[in-house]
Formats: sequence, structure tokens, C-alpha cells
Amino acid sequence: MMRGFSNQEITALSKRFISGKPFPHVVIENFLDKDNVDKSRQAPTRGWDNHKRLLLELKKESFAKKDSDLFTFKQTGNLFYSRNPIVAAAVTMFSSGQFAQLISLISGIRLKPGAVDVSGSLYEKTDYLLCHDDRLEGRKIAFILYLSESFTAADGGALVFLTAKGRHPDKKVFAYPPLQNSLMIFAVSKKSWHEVEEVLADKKRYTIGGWLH
Amino acid sequence: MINLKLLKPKVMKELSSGFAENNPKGVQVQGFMEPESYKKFLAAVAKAKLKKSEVRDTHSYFEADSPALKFFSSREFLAFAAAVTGKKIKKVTCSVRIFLKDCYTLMHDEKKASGIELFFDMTPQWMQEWGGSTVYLTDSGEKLILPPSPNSLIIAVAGKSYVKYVNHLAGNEGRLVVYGTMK
Repeated sequence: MMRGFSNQEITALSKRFISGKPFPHVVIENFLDKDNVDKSRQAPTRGWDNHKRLLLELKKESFAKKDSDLFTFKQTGNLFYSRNPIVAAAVTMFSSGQFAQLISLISGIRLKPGAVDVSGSLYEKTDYLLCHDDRLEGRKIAFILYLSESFTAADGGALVFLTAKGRHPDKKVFAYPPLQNSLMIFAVSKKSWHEVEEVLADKKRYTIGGWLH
Repeated sequence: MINLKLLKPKVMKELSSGFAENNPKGVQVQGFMEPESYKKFLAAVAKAKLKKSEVRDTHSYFEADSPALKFFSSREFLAFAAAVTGKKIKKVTCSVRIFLKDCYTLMHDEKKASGIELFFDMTPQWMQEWGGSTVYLTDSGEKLILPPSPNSLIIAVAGKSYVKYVNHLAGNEGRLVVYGTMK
């Protein structure tokens, strides 16, 4: 499901991660590969894009509305418990030693295999997530796999990073509109202030995300 | 300035018992000012020069001081607030705030406030789908959503509320309030 990475590409990604501003981060494009076998039916496919297949299956999961002072969006439960074989395969991939090793090599941060709290998120028109830093019980790396069709800056829904000033966020300095089949990873720290801009378009923003410890 | 209908003993008793019995402790009063006083107050507030106040992990809104706010430190208002809350109110600190698109407050911002808070609403027309409502959390975590309503006053315990994010559907409209804390 996850494509292969050469040592050269890992080195390049690592450089970009470490020099990421305002805190270490990098985007890995074309993260999921194509499959020639439909694993759920053990039948050949015509080079099915795994991210499209995963999106199709993720849409079958139950999304519950989440609403608080900080956010309005929809979210699945912990996908670790999903009975959907394609979704379960994605969770297995994120929980694998191979994934943790890849992200360790890129980030230079020692990570335990086993992603935590992997869930699907859906942002529709007017949904948003306000500024927070993601810090909680040993989280070291946050990852987000963008599955829906790509967004433009005018569509909203961008992941925005802010600089830190003392104990609070300060200026917005980076905005990443969702790019289909890209994986964003960033280091979780007291400086990792980020938010998801309000979705302005009639588009659905599907992601799978979680954390590595 | 306060609507005389509210100052009748029977009504004041209802407000006082409502404040004590609601969860969280608080009460919302419609038609708070006499209509003429409300018009004059609105005209005075309209002259306030609002400046953006923003710390993205706590709040984002536009804020200003206004000479009209001295009403909330008047003997008339302090006596009213004391009668409703059953507490002696010595000081009110307040400002005019407008919540435009992309404005909000988060709970942990107002948690720092202690005592009693007030929202005096001056928003003429508002759609709930725009966000911007004042939301109170009960002790069991349930939401009590109070949509904007012109000339209405909320007096409640501080630290239990937030103003929901105003989304882009609001366009150029804004939610105009006086927010204050009382001690």
C-alpha cells in the first residue's frame, strides 16, 4: 500500500523535515502506490490507485459530528476497530514497523512502531479546527494522509502552521491546501501550533490521521 | 435606562431564582433597556473605534472602550446585578466586542475569569448557522446555546461559556456585544 522510498529520497525528505518552518515538517507526495491485486477479492485490477480505493472504503465508515469551542467537523471512531479490510490494511500499514522506521529516518526522532488513535476526518463547508498544538501523552509525530480531491487556496481547508511567541501562537506563516495522496508529518512540541482553515467550498475534505509515540 | 418592567419585585424575584437554579448559574433577560435608552446606547457604541484582539489559542475579536460603558458601572446596574445574583457587586470591567468572520473565544480563555460575567447583545439580525452564538456548558457537559438577540442581557457565572466561531456565511455581518466581568 505504501510506496517504496530510496535512500536518496529519504535523505532529501529528512533535510526538508529538519529545516521545516516554523517547526519541523515535511509533505510526502504520492504516498500510497498502485495495486495490481484487489486484496479484498483476490482479483486482478487495472492498476487501482490505493488512495482512491481507500477513500471509497473510508466513506463507508460512520462519521460522527464533533462540535466544541475548538472545532466543528466529522470523525470516525478509532479505525483500529474497523471491519473494512481496506481501511484495516491502512491502519496496519500506519501501525507497522516499516512506517515507524521510515518516519524515524526522515524525522531523526526515535519512534515506537504502532500508530495511536488513527481516525478518519471529514471537513465539509464551514467546518474548521482552531489553533492547538497537539501535545498529549507522548505524541512525537503527527501524520495526516489527504485522500480527497485536491483543494485550492480559495477552497479553504488548508492546514495552517503558526509561529510561537512565548506560550502562545503568533503569526500564520504556512498554509498547506490538501493535496490528494500526500502525507503530512510534523513534530509535536510546545511550538507545533496549527489549525485547519474553515472549508469555504462545497467540497469534502477526507483525511486519515494519527500520531506516533 | 433599565426596562421598568424588569424592576417590578415579582419579575426581579423570578430573575433571581432563575439565576440561582439554572445550570450553570445564570439568566438571560430580553428587552433589557428601555427602547429609547437602547437606541441612544447603540448610537454611542457605534462611535467606538474597534481594534483587533487576537491570541489564536484563546480568542479573536475586535474590541473597544466606549464612554457609554459607564452605564454598567452605574448604581442602577450594580443594584440590578446584585439583586439578580444575590452577591454584592463592587466592580464591572467591560468592553465593546464585535465578532466578525473568523472570530471566536475558547473556553480556556474565559476560564481564567472568576466571578460573574455579562453579555449585553446588540446584534440586530443574525442566523444561527453563521456561528457566533454564546454557548454555556452545564456541569454535565451539555451545551446551552444562546443565539444573539438584540437588547438582551446574560448574567452568568464566568468560565463556563464561549462564543462559537463565526463562519464565512456571515459575510460582512458581525455580532456586537458588551462583554464584562463583575466582582
